[in-house]
Amino acid sequence: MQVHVVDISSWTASFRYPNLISGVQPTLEVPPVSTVLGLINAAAGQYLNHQKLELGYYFQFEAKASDLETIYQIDSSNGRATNNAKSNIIRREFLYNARLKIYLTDKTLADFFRQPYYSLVLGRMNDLATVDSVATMDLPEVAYSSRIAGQVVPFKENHLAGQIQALPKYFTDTFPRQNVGTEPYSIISYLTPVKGNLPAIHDEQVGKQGIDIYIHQLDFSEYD
Amino acid sequence: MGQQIEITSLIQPTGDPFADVGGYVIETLWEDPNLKDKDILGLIEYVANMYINQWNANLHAFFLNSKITQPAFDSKRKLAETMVYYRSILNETAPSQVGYCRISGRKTNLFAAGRDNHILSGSSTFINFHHGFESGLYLSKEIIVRFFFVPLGVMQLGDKIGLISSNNNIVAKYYVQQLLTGPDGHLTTLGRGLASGVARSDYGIVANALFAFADSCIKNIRKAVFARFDENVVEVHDTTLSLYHFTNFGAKPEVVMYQLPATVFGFYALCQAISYSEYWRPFVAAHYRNSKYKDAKYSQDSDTWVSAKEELAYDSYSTWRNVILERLLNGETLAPYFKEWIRKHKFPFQIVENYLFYVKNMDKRTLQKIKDVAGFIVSRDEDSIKKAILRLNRAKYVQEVRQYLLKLIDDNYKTNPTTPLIRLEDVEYLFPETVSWREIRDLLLIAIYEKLHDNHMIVPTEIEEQEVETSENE
Repeated sequence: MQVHVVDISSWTASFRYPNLISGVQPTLEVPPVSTVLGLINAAAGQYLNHQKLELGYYFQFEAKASDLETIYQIDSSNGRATNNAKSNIIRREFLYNARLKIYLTDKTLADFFRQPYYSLVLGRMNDLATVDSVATMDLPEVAYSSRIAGQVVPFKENHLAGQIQALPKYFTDTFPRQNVGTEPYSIISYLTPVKGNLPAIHDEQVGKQGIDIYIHQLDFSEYD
Repeated sequence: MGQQIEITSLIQPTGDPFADVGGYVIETLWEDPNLKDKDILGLIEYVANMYINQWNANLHAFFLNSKITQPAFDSKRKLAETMVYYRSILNETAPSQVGYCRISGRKTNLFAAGRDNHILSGSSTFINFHHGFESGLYLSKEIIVRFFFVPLGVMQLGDKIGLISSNNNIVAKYYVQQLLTGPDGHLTTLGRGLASGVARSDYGIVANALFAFADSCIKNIRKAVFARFDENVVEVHDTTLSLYHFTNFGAKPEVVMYQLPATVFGFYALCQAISYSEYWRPFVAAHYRNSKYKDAKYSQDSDTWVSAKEELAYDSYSTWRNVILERLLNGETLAPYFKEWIRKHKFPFQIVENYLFYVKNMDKRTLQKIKDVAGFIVSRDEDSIKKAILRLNRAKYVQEVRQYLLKLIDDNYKTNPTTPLIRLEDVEYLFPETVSWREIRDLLLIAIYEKLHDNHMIVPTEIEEQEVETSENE
């Protein structure tokens, strides 16, 4: 299968749990699909109205640590924001020395990364990322994946091992933004590979033993 | 009552651990003969009564200023206000907006979720953490209702609440079923007039609680854990356990997450197989520690910890800290502990091998090379074996291990010039980048001791008892 592979790296990365707001901000060990689609939008410099899209990715990091972060909580009155903001401190987990490989079948999307329009970040604005390379490769397809890691895979029908979390696929460009396609995913850290028994493509250059990459078949036509 | 609610949306797994536990609680309550005829509002009333009258409205670790925890309300008002609120959600008369539920993903009427009805979503002071300054997370009514039932599906674990979820739905539901219908479950104790609040774990330590639950699964829901279990073959389903250790209490809401990966769960389940459990159980039991019982020693014969004053059975000592369980949970190596244990106890090398394959993901060729070298060492005379053990044990630098291996290669060459002990291509397997040299050294010693046990050889090595080294960065 011919794919266009974008290699991205950053010193730090942080992917918050969508519904945990207070006290502490733990990080997911793999970004959700919506984060990767957000990166493509940032590289394109515009909101992309995808209909059908094929997307695979692999994420790894060197270490996980916690930092103290000052946040500002804006006061509200009758449901409207006021000018009063109160500072607070939370603990935020972050991942160190992160690498993201994005596998796209659409060359136009991959080409956006050759000269990204906006800064690319793997999490918050201080998690600045760099595009290391954009390349076209022919990767073999496997009918039954034997080594899936560093990815999220839809939980329904697959029931793969990993942390299970409801994650969005995309966000609308409306105000306020709406999460789209939220469903349960198995979050499979690169540290704990699992057998998938799913169709995938095999990238032997990832890690020592190679990794099978699950290709998400995303269909946003119902959200028009 | 006429509320329109989709039953499947109340109980179907969503991926959100809190919503899913709430769903399992609802499903389990409906399986009770006394509750099966109640509609969802009837279940809410039943549980609200329990929270208010049996639990003294003590839901502060879950909901801040909810209708139940509101200190200004008396018991009757707590119940009345709770029913008014949930009726308005179910009838959709509460303020709502159409959109996609943040948890179920369904397009429907959504209601605001904050700290009064949802866990860790933040209070109204977090409006800038929501899209377009919304006043909370927006969720469907089914999800809001699920959260109300969460306190019945979790347990007090140390200073916070423990919630266990899993990719294995049977395992995840079994956790909640135990809390509701088990011997000390809420429904059982309520019948005896003993219900008093959130279930309390027997353990204050996360690792002990997680592995105790794994033990319970292995013992009681064997079909969900094992794909195959007979004398010759043991195959384990991929099961991950996730523990959310949280509180939504007052000014210090917090959550810490723990993962027991499928690889560790699988290895642990394998260790309970018939051929391994008699060796694995004492190995784990001997590594419990408690500062109050510093003089106590583990007795393998009676499976008790014995001090000068008393003898403590499993029920007592299993609440102590256990370095083996903690290391398994934290992904730290067990090799030094295997090494110390195998010196004095018979311990099948297959347990170590399974650990290295499943948990440490070690290349089989690395292990084979270690076994080859150990085999060569043990094939020599007693004095050489003794020197090998002492030299490897004393090694403080990787160079010392390398020099010793070079000497072995030379010794082998002198006696057997046709077959090299280590080929050049083997070096990358014997010292892989991902494994510390200390671990390789420990594995070599484990393999040597295993062969000595197998050959019934006693080699007096005079090694002093030493604290297990934990550094993996050298």
